[in-house]
Amino acid sequence: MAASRRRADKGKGASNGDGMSDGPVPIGRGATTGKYLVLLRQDDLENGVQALGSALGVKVARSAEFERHAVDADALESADALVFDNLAVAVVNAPPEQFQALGASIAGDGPILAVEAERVVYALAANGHSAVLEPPTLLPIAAPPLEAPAHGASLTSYLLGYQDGVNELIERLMEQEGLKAETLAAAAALDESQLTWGLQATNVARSSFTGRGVRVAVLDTGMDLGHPDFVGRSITSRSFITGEAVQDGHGHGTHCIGTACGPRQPGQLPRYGVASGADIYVGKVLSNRGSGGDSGILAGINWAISNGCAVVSMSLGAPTEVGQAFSRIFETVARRALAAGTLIIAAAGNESRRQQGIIAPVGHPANCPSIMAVGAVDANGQIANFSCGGLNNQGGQVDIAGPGVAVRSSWPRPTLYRSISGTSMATPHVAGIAALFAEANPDMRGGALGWLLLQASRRLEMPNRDVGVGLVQAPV
Amino acid sequence: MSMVEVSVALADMYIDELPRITRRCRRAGLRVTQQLPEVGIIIGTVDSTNIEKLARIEGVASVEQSRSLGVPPPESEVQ
Repeated sequence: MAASRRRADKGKGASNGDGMSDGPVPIGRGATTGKYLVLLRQDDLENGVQALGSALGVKVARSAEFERHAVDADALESADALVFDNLAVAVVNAPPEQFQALGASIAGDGPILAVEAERVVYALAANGHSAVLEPPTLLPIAAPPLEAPAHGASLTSYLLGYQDGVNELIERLMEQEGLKAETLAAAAALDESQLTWGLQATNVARSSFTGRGVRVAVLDTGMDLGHPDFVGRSITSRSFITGEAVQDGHGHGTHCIGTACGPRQPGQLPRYGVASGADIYVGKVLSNRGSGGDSGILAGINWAISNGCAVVSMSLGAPTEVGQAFSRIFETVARRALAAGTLIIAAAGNESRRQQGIIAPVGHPANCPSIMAVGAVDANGQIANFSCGGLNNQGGQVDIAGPGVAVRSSWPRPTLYRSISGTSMATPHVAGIAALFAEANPDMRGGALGWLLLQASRRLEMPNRDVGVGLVQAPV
Repeated sequence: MSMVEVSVALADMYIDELPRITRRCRRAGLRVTQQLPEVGIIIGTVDSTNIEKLARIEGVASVEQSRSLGVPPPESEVQ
């Protein structure tokens, strides 16, 4: 709710302007009905309704007055102003000049957030295109005829024509590909003097959120609890490895925690951490040699849930075969975690060798439907050579991609910082950003939090087999 | 006789009956090492020939042998 309110605030200026435009726009693209939609503050609805009524001098009807809020067409047509109580939106039938009076109320912390002209909407026609919208731009292809013409042109000239068509298509696609790669590289400017490329490409640098108050569990090889970049941070830890303390004797865990939760101002630039305000939960489920078992990971997940962690980051896994089913145990646990408000995010795996034409399927446990599987891209927006692909259906998909090549983050003392690659590095980018979304949307946890990540991701010109919905993006 | 580590998932309807299902699993030969109430899981070791028996217990949804997982050694460029 908080985020939608913020978004509404931001859009206020523009919407307000629209609201003041003259009368209905003629039918066509962007046609309006002559009515106005007024967005009211949900937690101050009564004052909003009052302000609306007195500013416009109209009687305001309420959907709450109708049984089950079922407002009928007549009421909608006849009322000057009708408030949908459960949406905190009013539909107002008044001439544009009356909205001038309303303008003053749409400032600061007033109960009215925005005014927009109501648009005319149409049902989609059978071909999937709305009757008034121009047809979408189709693939720029000089389509060759599917069958050789029966008469006239010879087979040779037909084939030559076909060849031309294919060549043109290839040229255009290659041109596009180059452009897209360039655009992303530009966005993720390779200047890492202040910020790692990963924080730039995922928009973390521009986010106003830090994950404050959100608990993030990283299940890994532990953490260097004395790393100078984490002095004063809220850290809760527990080892699930018999005979080993939480202290990270490997480095992998410290690196992943650095990406997910590293500070805004590290001892040495560039900044590399996403959720600098999050509470860190270190679950050591992999030994100092980097190995562990299902049982420790399940115990770690259980611990994260009982501590109210909104996000669990798991940069670990075991390879799978094509056709292999996901673990029913992990799927059950992940489903129960979602129900308890905990989103599990896991690395897709590093078993591909794409330069040799080998794509390996998403590993265990990222291949469970209720676990978010993360693939890795590089600074040019290209899929990482090692990143696993969605070869198995039923959960075996890659869901989203994160920065996973040449990722700088924290490393146990005395090294302090190191750049490495892997879907293990992409995963904590997504987990950290999940914490930002969790702070921005306190009501959205579990599956709803995952949905926010997927919705916001930046679509890439690459197969969803490799990058899922695209590159994770932070809320601004 | 070969003892293996297994994870036992309780069926949704039995999620609040962890102690009772744990007792049943013990009777079927499971040496319980951990009970995870938040996620409805029992972990333990069992003779591999008894896995089927565990899976048939009322209230048990699935039984799986533990896998090992890991990350590459610290010096690897790809982790």
